[in-house]
Amino acid sequence: MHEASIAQTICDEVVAAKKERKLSAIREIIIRIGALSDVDPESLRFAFDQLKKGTEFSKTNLVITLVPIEIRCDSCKTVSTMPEPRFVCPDCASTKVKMLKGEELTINSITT
Amino acid sequence: MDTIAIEKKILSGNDIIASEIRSELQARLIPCLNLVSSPGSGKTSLLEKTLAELGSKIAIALIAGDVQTENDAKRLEKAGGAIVRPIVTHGTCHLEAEMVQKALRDIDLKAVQLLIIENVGNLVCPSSYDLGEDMKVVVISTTEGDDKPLKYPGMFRRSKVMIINKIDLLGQSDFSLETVKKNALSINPELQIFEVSCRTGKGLSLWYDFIQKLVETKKAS
Repeated sequence: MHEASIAQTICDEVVAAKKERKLSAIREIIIRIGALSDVDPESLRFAFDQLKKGTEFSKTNLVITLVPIEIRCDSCKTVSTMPEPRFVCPDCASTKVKMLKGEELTINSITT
Repeated sequence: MDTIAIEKKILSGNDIIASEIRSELQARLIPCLNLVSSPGSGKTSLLEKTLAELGSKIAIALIAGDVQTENDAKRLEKAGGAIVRPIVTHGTCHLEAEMVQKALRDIDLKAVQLLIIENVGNLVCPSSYDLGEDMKVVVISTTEGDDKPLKYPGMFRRSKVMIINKIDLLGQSDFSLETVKKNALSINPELQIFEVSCRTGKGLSLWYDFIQKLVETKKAS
């Protein structure tokens, strides 16, 4: 359950961004979570919704975009989206693959 | 409604400290292992054996993380042969780079040739936090499910080495060595695998050789 500390880090980062850019109230915080990031979106949302109570983010929505695992085969160069975390090319069965997407844990943008 | 692009890694604060640790260790040519596993896989037993074997040959510093108690650190101190520093996280389910940096301030790195971090027993949360290590070493034991690599793919993907412990108990459960290796390699085809028993000592010499080579390679880099 490290989602609570992740939620706190998100709030801290947005407070800093808000101050730096002299922004008014934040409507949405848009983040990307990779399928292999080891962060559970529902736990994170729950943690954020608990944390935001009584703070400047009490009306802020956390918008989570899930990023599936995407790999590129070194042998046949095919790019595939993997519904399961398997690192084998579905086209040619090579295990020499690079992960292109799936480890994201990023604040994408905020809206005011 | 205005949209303001941020594009920042959520854990960038941790990553910055991890990079500082990595640079300092690299400058001093100290390799660093981050040991991760479920609770009870035998990380501390593996380290006790490792210290007993290598403690007189390599100057080892060990940071032992635990949610509560300094029991592991005390066990490892008793094993001798290393500088041991505990980190008690008081409920936090993983170590963060800042905790490691703080612990390192208390260690004279001039006299160290290898740093080992024993993370909190947990296969999920520690995988998100870079501690400045050269590699994660994941320990799994034959008393666990052989599908663990599939259940915790993030950790097995981010590890370079997998140690299968308690092989003396093979046959006592449904754990299959072949299945666990097949599962782990489907997540990470480049995993280097060691099969050991900390109880009988079987297979440990290959692990000791691996560590010694790691220290020598770093020294020559």
